[in-house]
Amino acid sequence: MIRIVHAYPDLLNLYGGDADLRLLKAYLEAVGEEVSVEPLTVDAVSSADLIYFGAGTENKMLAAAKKLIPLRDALLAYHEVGKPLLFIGSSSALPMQTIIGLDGKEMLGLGLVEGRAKLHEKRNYTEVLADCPFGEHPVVGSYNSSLEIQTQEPAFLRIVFDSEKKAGDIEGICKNGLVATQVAAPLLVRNPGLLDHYADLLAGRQLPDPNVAWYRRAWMGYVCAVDILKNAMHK
Amino acid sequence: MDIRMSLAIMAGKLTRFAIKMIGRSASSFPGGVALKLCPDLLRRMQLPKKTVAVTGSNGKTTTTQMIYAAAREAGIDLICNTEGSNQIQGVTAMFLQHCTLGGKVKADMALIESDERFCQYTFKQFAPDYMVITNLYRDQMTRNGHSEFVRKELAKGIPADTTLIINADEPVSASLAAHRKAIRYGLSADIFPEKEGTGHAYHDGAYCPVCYAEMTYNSRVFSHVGDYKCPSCGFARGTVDHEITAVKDGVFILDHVHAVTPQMCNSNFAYNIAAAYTTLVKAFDFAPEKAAAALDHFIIRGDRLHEFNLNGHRGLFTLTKHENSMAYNAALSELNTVKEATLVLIVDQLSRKYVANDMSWLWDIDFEPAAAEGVKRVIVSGQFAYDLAVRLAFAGIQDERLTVEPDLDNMMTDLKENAVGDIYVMTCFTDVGKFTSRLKEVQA
Repeated sequence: MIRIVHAYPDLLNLYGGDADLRLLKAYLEAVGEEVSVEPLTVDAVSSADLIYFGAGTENKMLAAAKKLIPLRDALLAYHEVGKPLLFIGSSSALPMQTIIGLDGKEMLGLGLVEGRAKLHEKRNYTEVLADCPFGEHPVVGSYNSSLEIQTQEPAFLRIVFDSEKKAGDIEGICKNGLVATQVAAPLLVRNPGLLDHYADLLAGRQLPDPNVAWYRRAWMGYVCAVDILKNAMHK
Repeated sequence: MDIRMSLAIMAGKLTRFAIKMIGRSASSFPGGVALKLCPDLLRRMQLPKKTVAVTGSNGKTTTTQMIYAAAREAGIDLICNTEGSNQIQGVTAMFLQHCTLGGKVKADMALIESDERFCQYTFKQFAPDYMVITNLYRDQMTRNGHSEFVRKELAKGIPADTTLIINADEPVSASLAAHRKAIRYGLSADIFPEKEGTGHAYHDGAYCPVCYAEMTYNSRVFSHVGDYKCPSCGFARGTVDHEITAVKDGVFILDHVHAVTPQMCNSNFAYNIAAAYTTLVKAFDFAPEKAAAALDHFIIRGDRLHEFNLNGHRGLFTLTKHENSMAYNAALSELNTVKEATLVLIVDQLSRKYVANDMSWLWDIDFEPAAAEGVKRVIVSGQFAYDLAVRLAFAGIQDERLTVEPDLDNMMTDLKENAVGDIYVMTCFTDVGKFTSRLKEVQA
């Protein structure tokens, strides 16, 4: 049984909500695995194979940060052994040491990685095409955020195209099984190469038959999305 | 004499004249020209005695149409930005159309449909007496972020003296009424009850929008809309000033007494009626029975709903809004009762202004009605057809019923030759012309 823990699905439910996990579960079942998706508790952390935090509004992300305080030790222990954690969108703030709100007040993050997250008034929306360490396919998506991450940790993405940053800039964190990125779209739905990666990680294998209809169409959707961005790059 | 103001007004009027001469729409550009010359133009003008604004994610155009038609029918000297533009340029263009060069607007009242995020610019220069807020849902996330961000932006645009007319059933927008003068409307709990345990793609009412503690519901109309209460801070739907108290044989009953026969007997239309009724009574001083009579049998005009015929098949085209799950949910819910139908979903372009690829909003929509037994075929088309197909696979639409055809010409050929039963087409204003132009070609 592969145990996926989904943190606060009614709090962190923007930009696709549980879509990433629905596809990942379907993928893992298609390769013959039994999969459960469970809520986040201290007990669930210890037996989890993957813990997922979706995107939320800024206030809901801060509410999630408060709820996580009693789970800090359990999550730190989980992370220290390199088990996978995935933080999407504004929940990229949660693994940091501190989170600074719009009022300038600091609050504790999970302290899983070095650095801090800072909320700003201004929101940025941008389409993104970026290289990532998992596989040969670039990641495509968008971020829709007012969050700034300040860290020296290894990056998750290296930007190829983004209307805000320069090519070569970096985004997100990828360290010891932890991935935090503000790119949503949703992330795994838009990037089936990442579904392949997590399936490998969790089940040790990928879909043998790419003719699973939804999976094939996800790739076709991905190709269209990449083409759209590449055309925009060259304008 | 305010020369700057008068010059700006003249420039705006001349611009409108020139645009109209070449047969184009002048709904906002003249306003933009005038504001460039005089940025605080609206503060300088002599605006109508009373102004009512209507804003919100969904339903503001329909609600505005209802109020406007009723008020004009009653002989009220009312102007409205009916030509469509609901940002400050469009509002300014409306005033320019009806004012003297000295800046006096020749009307007793103004009714302004306003974009939620633009209220802070439009109402910086004057305060509407009333502001109707229909709801704040997830809408155009690429532009708007999320409903809490829109709430924050909208709050900046509510002047202190303005009285809100608020949908008490929708907690995100209702939270704006705290510490403000507010009149509240809603629907009684038992008239469109949602079945206990009905699933939705997301739940924006699980946590209180004021204190972020977990919120509870006595009943729901749909999704997070209903009778809610926060056990921690006490924020609640509470009592309302006006409501639809019953539905009898397809007729809405307002405040236990007044009957309105609606164009569509569903909860979304009910909220539009309730908003318009409350506004007519409170802001326009209509007697309640007169307000109800004015709204009775009201028909939405324009391209939101459009019937057509294709090769002997009856068709209904519904203009929804991309990136707006509530609009899609309302349209899709009609499929629950179809006997035999073909559904066409077109997503080809999200925005005319910028590159937008984000399909996460598809996962906010409850597509399950598309799997109803009466829906024999589902055709997805446009540039994002594959993304639609993935979404529908996870809404229970079996592959044998699904046709993925990104090419719009091929889609139309298939629809003409192979439609089953009635045809339901859903798309957004960015893509509507692509369907209607092709429809005209195949009908010819």
